[in-house]
Amino acid sequence: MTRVLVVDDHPVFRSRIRSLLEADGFDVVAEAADGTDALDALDRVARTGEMVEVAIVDIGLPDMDGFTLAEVLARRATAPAVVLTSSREAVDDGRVSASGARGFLPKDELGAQSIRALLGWGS
Amino acid sequence: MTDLPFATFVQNAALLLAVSVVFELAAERITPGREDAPAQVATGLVLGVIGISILLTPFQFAPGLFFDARGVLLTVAGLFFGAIPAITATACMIAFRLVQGGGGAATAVVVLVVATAVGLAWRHWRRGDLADVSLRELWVLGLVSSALVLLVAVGGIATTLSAEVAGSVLRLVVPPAMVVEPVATALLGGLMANRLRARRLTEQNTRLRAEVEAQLAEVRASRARIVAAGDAERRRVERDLHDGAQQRLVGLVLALRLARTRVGEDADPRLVESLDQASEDARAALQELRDLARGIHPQVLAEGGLGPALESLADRAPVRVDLAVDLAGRRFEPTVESTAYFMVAEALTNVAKYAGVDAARVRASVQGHVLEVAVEDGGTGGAVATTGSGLSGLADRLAAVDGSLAIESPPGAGTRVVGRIPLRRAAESGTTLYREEDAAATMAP
Repeated sequence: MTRVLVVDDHPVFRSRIRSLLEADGFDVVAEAADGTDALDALDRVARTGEMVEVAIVDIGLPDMDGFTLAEVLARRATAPAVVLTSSREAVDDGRVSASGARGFLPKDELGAQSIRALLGWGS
Repeated sequence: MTDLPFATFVQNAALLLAVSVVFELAAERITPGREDAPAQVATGLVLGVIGISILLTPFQFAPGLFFDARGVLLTVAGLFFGAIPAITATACMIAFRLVQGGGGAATAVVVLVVATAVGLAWRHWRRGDLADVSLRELWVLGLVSSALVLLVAVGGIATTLSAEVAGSVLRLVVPPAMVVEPVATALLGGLMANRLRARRLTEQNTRLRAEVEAQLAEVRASRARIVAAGDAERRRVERDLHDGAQQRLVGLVLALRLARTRVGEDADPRLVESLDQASEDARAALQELRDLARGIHPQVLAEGGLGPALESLADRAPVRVDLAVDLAGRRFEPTVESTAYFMVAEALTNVAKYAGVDAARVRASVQGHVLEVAVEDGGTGGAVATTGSGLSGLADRLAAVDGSLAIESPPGAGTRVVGRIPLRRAAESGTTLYREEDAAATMAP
């Protein structure tokens, strides 16, 4: 099962995303409410000897935006990030590639299939 | 004794006209409330020179006994020039007349003083603006002044010379003087009153122009503020929709998808169908809400700026768009960006509606200190910015940011709509430039 970190400051969204991903066969190994929390969560997971294979990151976090977190993750080579948005248009493609994120998804299109497609894992 | 002194009086009256020139030159510095004492004295000296010139061209009634228009000069000087110039001129003339000497010198001095005093007294006690003085009032002033001056003169002559000479003066000099001097006073005073009225009109025009310009500047600033406030309100509404209803709908879509996943494929088909339908409806509602929010104020415009917003607009446009954006990622004031964006959106809508073609070219670039945005099509042309039309509204909108809209639309040869918006420095614009933290603030989850 693909091990996933879910980062969203809204607990209801976090819970629903987790449930959806788990229903689609992902293993949500950690949740975080902001960027700092996410980096701590990755460290904790790493200490258990596991690896997070993909971070699902909301675009708007209290301490940094999703692309900034994606950039940090890319720099640390910890896990590729997929950024979630609540709008289809509000993301500049240049910003996506500059951040190192693997892509972005509108939240309502979140699912195993769309994530795998973005990561190039095939369905 | 000599001939009737009409010629001398007329000659003197003509010399008096020079006074109006002095008044024209000195008017600014002798205006009540703006007096300049040295200038007043200088003006008085010039008047004194004119007065001495008059004294030099008199009608000599008898040796040492002169008559001329000195009274007119000093009365008018007292009325229009005020105390300092009139008294200075009087002093000059008195000094000269005393030097001239003769039997009438003492009387002449009194005449000069009386003429000046009449003018000053009239100035002091009359009511209303001197510019509004009538020819009739001036004539009456001339009549009073002449009467007093001649009364003093005849009395003085009778005292210092003889009753016979005084009688001759009364018979030969007084009648023409009482005719010519009041008229000369009225004409000379009328000239100067005209000058005062002209200056008052000029001042009123200057004041009105300044007021109109100030009002125009305020209207421009007000229009810019209204547009900026409108834009800010649109952004606020868009953010409220994004952060509120849109988030709830996204949450609802996720919840319905989760429910659909949990019921699995073995559930009651009617339940599955209901969940699928509900999910589809929620997604449709979400899309409609996104479209509505984008129409109010595109989120990408606030977050990414004009370039990405135009790319997004081109992707969704009702016609194919050949887009060339040369902005190098620059950001502009929010009002400038939204004005350019909505200009392109409106122009593309017009292409789809009226041009009869399915393609358009959009260009955006900075030329010097001007943001230039152009939309062109190869359609039917003939577009006119009539009052109340979309193009007219665009022109108004551009004008609010000191920009301009140019429309070239010859019939049958396509339409080119070009918006030009001057880019001001922050200090000049008086508005806050768009900041990165503003962008971050709009990026709610």
